[in-house]
Amino acid sequence: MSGFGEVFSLVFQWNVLGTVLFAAMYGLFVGAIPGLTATMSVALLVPITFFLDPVPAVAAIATASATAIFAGDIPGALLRIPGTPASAAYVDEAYALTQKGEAERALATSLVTASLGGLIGVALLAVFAQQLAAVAVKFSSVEYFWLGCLGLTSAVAVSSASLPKGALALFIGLFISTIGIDIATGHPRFTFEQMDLLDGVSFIPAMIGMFALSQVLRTVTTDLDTIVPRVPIGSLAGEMVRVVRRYWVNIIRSATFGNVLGALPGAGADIAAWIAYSLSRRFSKTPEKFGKGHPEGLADAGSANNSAVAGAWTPALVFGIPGDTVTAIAIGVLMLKGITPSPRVFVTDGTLVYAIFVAFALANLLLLPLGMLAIRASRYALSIPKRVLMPIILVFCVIGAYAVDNTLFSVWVMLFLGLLAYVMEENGIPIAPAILGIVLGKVIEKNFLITMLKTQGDPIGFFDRPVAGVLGALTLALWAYLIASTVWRGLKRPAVE
Amino acid sequence: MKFNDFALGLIVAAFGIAVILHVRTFPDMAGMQYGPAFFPSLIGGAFVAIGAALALSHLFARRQGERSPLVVLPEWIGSRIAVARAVGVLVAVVAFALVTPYAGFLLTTIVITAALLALMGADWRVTLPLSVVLPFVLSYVFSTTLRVPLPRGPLERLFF
Repeated sequence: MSGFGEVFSLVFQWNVLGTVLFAAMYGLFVGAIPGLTATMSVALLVPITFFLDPVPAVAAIATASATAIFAGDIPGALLRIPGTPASAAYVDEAYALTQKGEAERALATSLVTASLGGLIGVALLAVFAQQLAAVAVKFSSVEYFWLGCLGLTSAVAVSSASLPKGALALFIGLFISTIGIDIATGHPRFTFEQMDLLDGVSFIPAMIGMFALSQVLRTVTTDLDTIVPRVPIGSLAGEMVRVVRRYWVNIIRSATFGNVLGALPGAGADIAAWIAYSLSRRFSKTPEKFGKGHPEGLADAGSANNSAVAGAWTPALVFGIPGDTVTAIAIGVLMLKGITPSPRVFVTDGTLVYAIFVAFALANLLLLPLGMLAIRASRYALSIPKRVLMPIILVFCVIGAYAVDNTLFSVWVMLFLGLLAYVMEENGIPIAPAILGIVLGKVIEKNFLITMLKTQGDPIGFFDRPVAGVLGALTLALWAYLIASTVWRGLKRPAVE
Repeated sequence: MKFNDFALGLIVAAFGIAVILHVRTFPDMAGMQYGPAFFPSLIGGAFVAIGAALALSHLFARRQGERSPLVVLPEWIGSRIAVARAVGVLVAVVAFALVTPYAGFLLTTIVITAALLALMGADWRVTLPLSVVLPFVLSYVFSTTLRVPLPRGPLERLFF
């Protein structure tokens, strides 16, 4: 590892600090607006990061995602509308506190646990990622093939959709990843004579379409008029101290747990929050208070989801396998900045990676003062009518898609995939497995072909190395379990009268 | 547009078959079992299997008395203004892709922003300043600071 001095001198520069500050405010704003997710905030930020140095670019993404996840709690507590899906798990609890006239208690709990959860998450990320990298250096194409498959499988397993629909999402993503020139022979696949498709479907426009355009479509058709009532908010600082004193065990426990969950591909901050909240209730000394305005569940879920945001970077940096949709985008930015995710990333780009960790920690520290400001300012942000906001977001979508490759073809990609995502969500087909499919499709195909060449077509080659064997067996077992449990539930379903 | 599992299954399976038929036209790689068609045909096969599973699960549920129409249109389709807004959003994106090479970024974005704000029913006191200021700010930020070559048109020649 390079010297601390070098790392800090990379982070503590005006352009980096300024970018982090801007990204924090941007993330808070986007996260606080219901319907705009942390992933969407990051997708719209990417075109700007293209023109920044590596450290500020990646720091901006990490910061915006961390702050957006917290900001999602604000409308959750005040309006009972989660600002991002990660806040959905405990929105009733937070709103119950507000109804008791204790909005400041709900928001202070969210804020301080988000900041602490994030800090613990970054610390764990720094430790885990390096340990994992030390093991993963020995991995070959077989291990990467199975890791990719396991990642995709767990994305299907944790999605709330039925198995056929989760699997469908996954294969839609994999199919999109095969568009373009074939890596082995150079034969164009599914490009239909379009020059622009030879390089494959451009990822960022795809992402902007799938997350932002589809949301704009949903909002303008069903939810253009939400009226925001005003809620008085009392002192925050005192509440935060009380929360930490009473629930520090919960915070450490759930931050650790959320970090591990975040590292699982497909299971991001929202799933971490759901599970942490239900575990909190199960282990609580006073489970009967849950749901009626009790901060304990908020402390657990709030620290879990922000820690998951950091945890998702572990597989992203070490394997190039994103832990969630935000890091799926971040991998693209890393590669563009010349940082190739791999087990050797700590050797090749050690200083940069540690600088990113420091910036990440800084963002979570900044979250405290900025979050307090954001809570105070929330009444203004929440009162911007959606009829004004949606056209602005659409303009950002279009210019964002264009700016990535400076081609209008990307605007078509964004439009097409936005419509696809809209229809998918209408039909209960989850988006996250499709995103992972797009990112991992090429990785899986490449490593499959390499392995096949090495073993000359012998399928035993996929299992005869110990780590590969375990990963392969895990993947196959997970599929067997998923299929068997789906069939079993289908057979046991009682007849509808 | 919400399809029931039977309709969705048929669509998915048909797409899978189309993929498999299409990749059969791909050339083989000399001396290798796994050419460019291999991975896509696996995916096509998966689509067929998933489509069949969806359709079968629907038939199974139907035998137990569940009924659902093939396609349900979204509720907002009955509201003329909601349809106009959805179409407006799509037309705006298409217009941007088609018109900017000729009209330039500024002019296109001013018109699109103003039209969309009006269509969403925003106050004209917001619409007018916003649809002028936003495109100019974006144009300045992207073309000057971020060095993105935005398509130039008459307004760009006038101002920059």
